[in-house]
Amino acid sequence: MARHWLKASFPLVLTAAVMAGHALAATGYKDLVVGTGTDASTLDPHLCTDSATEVINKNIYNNLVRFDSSMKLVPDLATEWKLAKDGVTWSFKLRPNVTFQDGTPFNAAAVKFNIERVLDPKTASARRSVLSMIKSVEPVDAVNVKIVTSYPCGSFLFQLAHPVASMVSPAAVAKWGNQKFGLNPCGTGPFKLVRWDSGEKLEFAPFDGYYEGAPKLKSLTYKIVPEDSTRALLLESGRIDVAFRLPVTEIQRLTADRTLGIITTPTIMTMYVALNNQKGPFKDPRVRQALNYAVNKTSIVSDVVNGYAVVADSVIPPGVWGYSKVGGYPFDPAKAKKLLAQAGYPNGFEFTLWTPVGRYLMDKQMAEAIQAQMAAVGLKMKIQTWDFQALMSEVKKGQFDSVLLGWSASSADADQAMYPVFESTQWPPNSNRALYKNLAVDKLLNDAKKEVNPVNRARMYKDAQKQIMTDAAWITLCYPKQSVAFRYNITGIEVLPTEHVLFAHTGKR
Amino acid sequence: MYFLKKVMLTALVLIGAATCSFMMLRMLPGDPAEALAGPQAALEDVETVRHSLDLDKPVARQYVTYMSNMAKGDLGYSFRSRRPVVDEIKARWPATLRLSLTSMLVAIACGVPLGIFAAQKRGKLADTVSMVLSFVGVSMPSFWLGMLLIVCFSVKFQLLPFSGDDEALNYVLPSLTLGLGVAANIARMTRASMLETLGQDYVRTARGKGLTEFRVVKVHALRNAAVPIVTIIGLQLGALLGGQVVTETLFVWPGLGRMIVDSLNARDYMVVQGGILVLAATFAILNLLTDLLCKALDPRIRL
Repeated sequence: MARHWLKASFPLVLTAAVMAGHALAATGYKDLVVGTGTDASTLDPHLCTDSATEVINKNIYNNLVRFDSSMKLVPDLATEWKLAKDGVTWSFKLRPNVTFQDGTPFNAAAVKFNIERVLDPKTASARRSVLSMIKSVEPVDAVNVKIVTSYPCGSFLFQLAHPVASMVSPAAVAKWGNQKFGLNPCGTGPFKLVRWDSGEKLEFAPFDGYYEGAPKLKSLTYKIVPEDSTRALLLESGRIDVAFRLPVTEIQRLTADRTLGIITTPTIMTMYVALNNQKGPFKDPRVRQALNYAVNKTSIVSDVVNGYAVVADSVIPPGVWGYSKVGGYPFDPAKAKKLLAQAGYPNGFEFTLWTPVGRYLMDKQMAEAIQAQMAAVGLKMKIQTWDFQALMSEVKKGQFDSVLLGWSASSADADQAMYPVFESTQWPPNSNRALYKNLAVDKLLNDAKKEVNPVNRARMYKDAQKQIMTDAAWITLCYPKQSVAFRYNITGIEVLPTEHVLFAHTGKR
Repeated sequence: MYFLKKVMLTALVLIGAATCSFMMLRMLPGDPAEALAGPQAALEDVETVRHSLDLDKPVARQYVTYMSNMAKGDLGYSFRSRRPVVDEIKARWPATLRLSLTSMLVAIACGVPLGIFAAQKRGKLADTVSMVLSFVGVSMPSFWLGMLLIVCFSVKFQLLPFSGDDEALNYVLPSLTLGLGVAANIARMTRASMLETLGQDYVRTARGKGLTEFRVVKVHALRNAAVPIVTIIGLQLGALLGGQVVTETLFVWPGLGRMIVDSLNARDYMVVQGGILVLAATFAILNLLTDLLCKALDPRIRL
């Protein structure tokens, strides 16, 4: 591999500084231009629902707690926290002397305002349920705040790191109103919005009052470049400094360019085929196991996505709290055939796999590889491709045979990573798209939700992961990776497994 | 009288376009509330979103609200950005219009002379070569041509920029990409129309008078051949205004086509409806202008 290739393993600190040095030009700061595929939807973090916009919002806002690059929870606007013996009262000590970009002080009252804004039905936040376990927020003094949950909530701190729990300026919301705040955002983060040309670019200036010190850049611009190959060409010709979300084929081509650096890191997504557990042959766990044995995940990872994924060894990825390496199904077509015969299908059967196109890493190509592997054990699999929104509407009806999807829990906790997709009250139209049901797993997931002891929680989630893998609710495929490409003179880009890319400490020589 | 009729017809076209886009969007599978809330949203959150967008009201009522607001010039709000649709269009529309016009200039500058030339050399090698060229131009996908131009002029020789619309040079490559395809169409139409007029008696008379070939072509033949050429230019300009999504995407052009497609993928109904309405209005106005121009060129035409 070329020497500009940085294959960072998970717990490493993933900064570009490692390879590009860290000397900043002493003479003045420069403009950083980032090429991204889609325009932001809304810069109001309480209303935002798409990860492409979350990435941009991360420049404007902070949370009480945040993830570091190894997915550990670390202080952000809260410096310390403690859970009382009752299991529901959390005390937070806030970072003193922090102000929002409009000069409004950040304090306990601001925390109360923000959480109540998300919970207020009038705000119509599509992520309200992330914080809905919060019963009350009580400021103690300016820098101390108590948050009470309605039940002992094991994943509480993770929920507070979710983008919807970003802190926005109460004064700015009062000034602009809910409708226009998203166009006039104001947080405590390292960059403030200067200008937003719809479909074209978003321009930011460093915020001098940022609590970690103003970023060492003159400006930060996100240029909207929807076409992947155009984004790659712009990076090569030096017209942009950083490119997001390049397809595997482009990344491979760019690897050879010595003026570029590439950071490849894991994400917290699992790609899977949801087999409809309540339909036809898939009702039989032996059939579902057979399908798992029939799929050669190693070959999919190395040949279809060229190594830009890791073979899954559980239904949740290592970046999610509660992950346990329970092991998957090795590629064993002979065993697959045997299991199919035992289940009464010695001659196989026909079924359809639904897949979106271009929504997930090489999704359609993966479906085609699976099709060939199914044929090898006598299963005739048809592929039906869909526009993503249409696919989601159809999947909600629960009438499909199987569907290729990805799931990533943006709170990076096992509760959000497992409860919505495996608990049996969560069948479609909810997110348990495999219509999986196992009462033992239901109990584990419900108990773990209300368990605040991390050791007990971890054990429950481990048991649940084991059982789900044994039941073969899904064909568990892989954990995709992400890549960010940049010019050699850029330093200090931080890429998190949540797919957030932070520029607070980025420099340009 | 003509204008009154035309204005009423245009109003009908716009009402029709608004109604069609309204209905077709709602027949399309995919739910805007779900699209906005995202694939991982809890069901109750999706319902909150649906309510906040008024999508829980009966479709008939949504339609009446939309049409009556439209009559007042209010095209609603984008579901995603909560920006007024009128503002979204104002931000995108000029870029599309400018690119369409520069592309059309390229197309006319290449297509008309090529067509005349081919007609004059009818049946000779030059004619065949010209027509093969225009055939290639018509068949070449704009995506491929654009990519070729970028790789050649921007990456390899670094002569021209290829992204955004902030400076004049940025217009060169996208205008060529769009213009060359249209030029081919115009060339074929010009050739056909010229061939017809070059065979007319008055052209023979003009030649017989001893006029130079240039004057024969320019004054006598081209003027009479112009009506179909102007008509196709009008039609193609309409197509340029509505159908340059691929080129806009490739050249990072902040235009209307891309806005509509992006919004369609996100089921942002209001923006799609607004965009289609503006395109329909432009098309109607272009048709009117083409009619007037044809009338000016050929007084025999009765409007």
